[in-house]
Amino acid sequence: MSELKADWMSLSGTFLSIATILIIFAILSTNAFPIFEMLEFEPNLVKSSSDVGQQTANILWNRRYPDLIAQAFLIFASAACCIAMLRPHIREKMAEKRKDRLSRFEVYKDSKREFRFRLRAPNNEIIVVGEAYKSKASCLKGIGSIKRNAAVAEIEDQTLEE
Amino acid sequence: MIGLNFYLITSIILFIIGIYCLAVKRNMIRLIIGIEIITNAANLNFISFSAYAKEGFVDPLARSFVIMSIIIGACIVAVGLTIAVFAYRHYDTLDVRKLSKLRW
Repeated sequence: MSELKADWMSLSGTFLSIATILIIFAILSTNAFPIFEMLEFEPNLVKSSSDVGQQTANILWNRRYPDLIAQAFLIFASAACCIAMLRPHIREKMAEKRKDRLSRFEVYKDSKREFRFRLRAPNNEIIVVGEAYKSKASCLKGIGSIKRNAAVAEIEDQTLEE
Repeated sequence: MIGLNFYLITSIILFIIGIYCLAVKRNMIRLIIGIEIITNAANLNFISFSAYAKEGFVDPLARSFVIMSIIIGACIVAVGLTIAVFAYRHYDTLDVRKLSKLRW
């Protein structure tokens, strides 16, 4: 169902873009594009001593206002793009995908209804199975202890003494 | 007063740093910084040419272009950084050479 939705979305997006291009082309073929009337090839120099910032603002507001509108649209579009990409549900999806790729501790109940944990690798292979615990809290404590101790544990080869 | 050449050389140096950044660096964030450095080199050129167009005069049109360029640069950085965050979440890396498969 989701694939069908995505198809409808992409189809409507394609249709809208083509329609927009056609409408713009139709408008431009009948009317002159207003920005060309604003083009000035003569430089409009102002004295360095005068208020250049004020002059720049005047030029921006009086002659380059389509650019300002385009900029506002651009800022809005980029903000929308950033928000869309960082949406919470996409973040959750990403977290799920990461979860699939990471190794994990699984807590489960065995046949005697006791709590156990096992460490599963990203390829779903079981690496370690813990002992049985009476309560879930002690099982979670056991996982914490393994996490803490495994990181600093050294290898002691006891076969060398034989 | 500092001459036009000083600004032009500075902008050339900035441009070379930006191109070096784009050509050599692999980290996405460094590439975005490189793009920004190149944009700043262009902006510096605009401002210096506008200030030295005629003795004692300034062209405000170039300044207005630079203001627009800064805003567009900010938008590019925002979208670029978002893409970098997205790519990092998906691939666990910011190395662009490891992002050769652009499929989610």
